[in-house]
Amino acid sequence: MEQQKPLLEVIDLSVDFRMDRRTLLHAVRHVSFHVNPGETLGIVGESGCGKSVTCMSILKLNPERRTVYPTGQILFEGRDLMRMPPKQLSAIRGNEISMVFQEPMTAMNPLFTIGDQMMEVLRIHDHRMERSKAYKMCLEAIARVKIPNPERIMKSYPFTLSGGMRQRIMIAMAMVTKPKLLICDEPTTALDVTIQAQVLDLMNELKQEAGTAIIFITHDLGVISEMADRVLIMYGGRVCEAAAVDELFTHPRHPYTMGLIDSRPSPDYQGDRLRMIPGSVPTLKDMPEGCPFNNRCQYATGACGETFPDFACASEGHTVACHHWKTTPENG
Amino acid sequence: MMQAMQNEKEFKQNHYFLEAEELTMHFPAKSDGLGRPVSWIHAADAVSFRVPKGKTLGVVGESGCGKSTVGKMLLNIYRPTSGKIYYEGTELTGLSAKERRPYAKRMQLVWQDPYSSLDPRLRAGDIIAEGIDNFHLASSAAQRRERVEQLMTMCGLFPEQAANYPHQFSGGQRQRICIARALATDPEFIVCDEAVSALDVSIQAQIINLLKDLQEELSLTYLFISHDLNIVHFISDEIIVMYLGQIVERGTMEKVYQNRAHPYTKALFSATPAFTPAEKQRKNRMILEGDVPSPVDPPQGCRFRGRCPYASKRCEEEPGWHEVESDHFVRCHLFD
Repeated sequence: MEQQKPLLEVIDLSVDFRMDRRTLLHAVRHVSFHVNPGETLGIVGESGCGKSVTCMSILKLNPERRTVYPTGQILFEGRDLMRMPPKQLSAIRGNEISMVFQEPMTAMNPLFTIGDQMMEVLRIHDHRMERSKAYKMCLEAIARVKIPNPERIMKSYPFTLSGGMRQRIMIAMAMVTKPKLLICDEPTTALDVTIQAQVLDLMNELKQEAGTAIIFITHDLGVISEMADRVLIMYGGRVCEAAAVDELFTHPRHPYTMGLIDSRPSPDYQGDRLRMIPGSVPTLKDMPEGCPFNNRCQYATGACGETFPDFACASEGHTVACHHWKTTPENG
Repeated sequence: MMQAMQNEKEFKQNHYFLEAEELTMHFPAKSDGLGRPVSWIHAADAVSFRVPKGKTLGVVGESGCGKSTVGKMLLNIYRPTSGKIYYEGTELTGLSAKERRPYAKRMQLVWQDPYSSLDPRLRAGDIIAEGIDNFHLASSAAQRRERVEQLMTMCGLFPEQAANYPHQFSGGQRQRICIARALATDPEFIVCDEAVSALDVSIQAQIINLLKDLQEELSLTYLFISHDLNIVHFISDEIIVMYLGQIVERGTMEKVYQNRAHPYTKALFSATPAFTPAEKQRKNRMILEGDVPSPVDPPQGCRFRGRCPYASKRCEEEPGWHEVESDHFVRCHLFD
């Protein structure tokens, strides 16, 4: 098999937030991953694990004055986004890399019609594009996300649409420039399950049609298992495990991954109580030294409180960062 | 005396703990210029169910289906437009506010969002003690403090934290405070309205286990409202499925899960993302078209017919209840 050239490569990315003169919070520490063309990469983690910050850093959308990037390279088709002049970067934003946010309510401007907002995306990237051409492209984009009567939608305001419709519009808007990479930050969390199923289905279809690569961020393991080809599990600003989706859910190696999988009530689970991870997710201010999971981990030893473990290769394409991955029972 | 106790025991066996009969809640939607409503939001329509003592009744449905409304009607937060609620045989809906008050002590609520349901200016201990104060359950400050400490320990909090303010707690701990607060009046019945939805996955499991422990310890009865079918499946003994203000299917949890009858129930279960490869393979995906219609002027006849793949002409008439098997009922024309 020929080695595929990755579309996006994130190498050793760290992100700090400056709170005041003295405090510097380490939101993301030494995260590396890659996305191949046409592939869906899922990033899973609980609140505050750095999954959103990681993805915001790809397009440098973090609050500029407060954010420091001490280390890291972000290579998009070989170009380093990290050190790119702002003008060049904005040509990539929304054009080659698009984003879909969680809240379809707040991501749109309530004062402009859907049509105005969608056409703006096109015309910002190509000033010479004629209005009529942009209009036509938008109609097509709306039709592609299976919303009936696109002409009417173009004239309506965001508040007149339901949550599911609005999220479809967001997807249409992100896809209208035919990006190579789509970053979705919890795109279905605010939606009901039947609507979520519709939207996920649609995203899969669009991905197949256009060959777009997707980074899919969520805290819902079920959604990730249906959407992703490969999964990163993040905890406390670190990547703790990465593997192909089925491999990860059948043979988790990191204690945190095992805990996450066990805490979800599966229909096949016969026990009376759920197995659970004790304690709570640490905040950025009191992140423990060494492996961030060590204070909740049942296998933790002295070494876990001192150094963050190196990545070990458990099987092909399956990496895990745990001092004890060899001794923890497989399958949890 | 003995006779009376015997009678009461028999009575409790024959009657369900809590019964709702044809509960209906309509909110005014639009009014004419004079403040008279001209259209109504049908939040709940003729909802009838029973909650067995010491068990958990799960209520599932999408947003806007009226599941929270039902919980709030039971607790007298909303006054039902029509219908009756019986609590151990007593009709609550006919009682005056004064007569109703003792029942407020016996029925409590845990809200969804632990961030907005706690007063930021009260200390955790005082939040928990609110019920104790309201019903004068403690005769001295020492007794009050002791009770608060006991409740906190029971819910997995440290009594030393009683002087802390809500913002000093994490989301899971806050939800524990909410549960401790609900338990303060020694209730028999607790409505959990999306009690774990706002929490992280690893914390959800902790809270669910806590709820189950407490149920065993204090023989509590739960009405567990949630949109997460996996959680409802895990925690409930019986389930009702709601769509647009009406119950479309009800029965014991296992029977409904194994043998889903209503097309909406099927769609709802199949929309829940599968997890392991085995689950994925077993699953029959059924994706519904369109959105939930507006509860203002809902469709005539079967309310699901606009999205139902099996809809036919007869669905324009109101469907009746049918027995699928014992303890499992469905409201659909397919079973005529």
